[in-house]
Amino acid sequence: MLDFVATTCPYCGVGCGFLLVVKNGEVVDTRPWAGHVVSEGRLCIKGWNAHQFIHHPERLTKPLIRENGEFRESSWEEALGLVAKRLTEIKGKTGPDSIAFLSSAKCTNEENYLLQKFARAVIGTNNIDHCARL
Amino acid sequence: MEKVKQLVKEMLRKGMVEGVMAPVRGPGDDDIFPSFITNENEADRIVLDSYYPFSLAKLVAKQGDKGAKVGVVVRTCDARALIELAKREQVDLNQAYIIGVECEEGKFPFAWCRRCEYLIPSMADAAFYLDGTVSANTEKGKELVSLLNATVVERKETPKEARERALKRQEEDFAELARLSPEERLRYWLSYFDRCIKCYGCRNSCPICFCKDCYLQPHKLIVASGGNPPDKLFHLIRLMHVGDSCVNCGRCEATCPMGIPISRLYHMLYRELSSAFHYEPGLDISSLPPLGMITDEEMKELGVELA
Amino acid sequence: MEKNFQPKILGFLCNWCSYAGADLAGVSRFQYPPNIRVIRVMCSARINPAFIMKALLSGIDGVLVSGCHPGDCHYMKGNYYTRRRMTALRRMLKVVGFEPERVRLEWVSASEGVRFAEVVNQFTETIKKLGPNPLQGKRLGTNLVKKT
Repeated sequence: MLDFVATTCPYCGVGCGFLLVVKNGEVVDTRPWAGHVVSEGRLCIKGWNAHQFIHHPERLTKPLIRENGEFRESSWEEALGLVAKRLTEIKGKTGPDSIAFLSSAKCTNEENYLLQKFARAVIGTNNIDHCARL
Repeated sequence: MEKVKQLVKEMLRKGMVEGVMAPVRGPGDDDIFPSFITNENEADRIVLDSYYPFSLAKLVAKQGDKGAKVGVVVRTCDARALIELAKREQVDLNQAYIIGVECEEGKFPFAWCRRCEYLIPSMADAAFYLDGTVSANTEKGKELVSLLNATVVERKETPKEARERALKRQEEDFAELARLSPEERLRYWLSYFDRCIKCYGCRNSCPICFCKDCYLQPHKLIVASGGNPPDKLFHLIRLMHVGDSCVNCGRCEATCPMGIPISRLYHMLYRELSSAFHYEPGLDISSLPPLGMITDEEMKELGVELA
Repeated sequence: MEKNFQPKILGFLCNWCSYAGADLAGVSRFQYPPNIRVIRVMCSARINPAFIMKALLSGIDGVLVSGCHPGDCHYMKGNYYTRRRMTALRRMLKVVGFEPERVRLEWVSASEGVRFAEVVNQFTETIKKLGPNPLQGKRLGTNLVKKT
């Protein structure tokens, strides 16, 4: 019924821990995690409200493809297939340096590593940056 | 104290409650997590000799199902908070079994615990004391105590000497501020408020703050959104809203990332108001918060001050 | 303390009694210092302590709250709540570091023109003795809504 799940904040690089209050499968609230080595039971306003996007009605839940100026829902296979096809086309036509990559502090370190490997090894460009200049 | 775990197991076994809110051991060595225990084996993880920096009373009030019976294992401050929330109709005490746990004087290193003059949860349904005895303080408490094989004693109150020692520690804590001139005191508090990063942690942790449509939200046009530190009104408004019923649980100060001594300010105000209104929060559910009610006697008083 | 310190005083007067009393004082030409700025409210219970706190944070030197005598409130019980609130507010100001004498509660009825003038006279003197608001000149955090 009521569960308390310990997790790390998805926002900045400090990495505070807190508890998500899960009621009947839905995340409803956040409580501080006093024993966490970084946050020690204290949170900033983003941490306190980090749970709000999880069930937000405006959150995207399916990949969308833009066709004729409008978005339509699609599957992961179709969307990723389209991305791969178009990137290969652009790389062939105007060269790898015509593609740039932008990453985010909201992604994990592992995801950032993956993206830069993709940019450098697969596409072959060093046009990659991060919102915090990582 | 182990008897508390036994009681929780019995309550679950008999199906008396949907579950029991209690502080449990977390993953780390010193971690304490809240938990809604529905499985007997979980009851072994309950922690009874530590301060827990969240309010179980607030969790029951906010997230509890209105129709479900629950048990709550609480320390005295949280038990008082539960009574205060019940006065504000946020919790139905008929649906809650309050299991109180006595606090050992001077054990916890926090300033607010040292100042606390309520060591014994006399307002709980069943109170568990440090010497292993229990008492049933209400009819519901008798139900609970009958499930156990324990030495039952009469309901206890916090001993007078302990209360007096606590009051003395309060005076010492407040003495530095009481000595300052008004302007110095103002500068002291305003410079602390300057540290505030408007995380709303104090409001989120405070068990007395229950309003869904809180006055401090930006759309109420008092506290601007964006920009720190917030208007000093933020703290003063919360002080006026909560001050008459502060139970000195200290969760506000425990969660403030900037180390503002919030609990000291609120407790100082509470001391003033408690003598003005003769009100002690969290003890008796029939005595309502002073700022929201008037008595028949005072309607006969003609002065500008309350007698 | 400068001799020509002219305090800024805010007066919250309840419509039915105190405002009428002040009006009577005016009509009868009873003199009282011009330092008071009057705000009419329907009942003294309309006054949220936040109004007074904001006034003090903005640099006002004194606040006078005036309502009907106990038992005479046009809305039956408003002034009793006001009395409780002002008691709490004054204690709160003392704890935080404002002099509680800067906020005063009075009961003035519609026929008490003389009394209103006296009250304002006395209060202005009190504030002159207390001196300017310690936050004078420093508008501390009074931004209401940030202009974006």
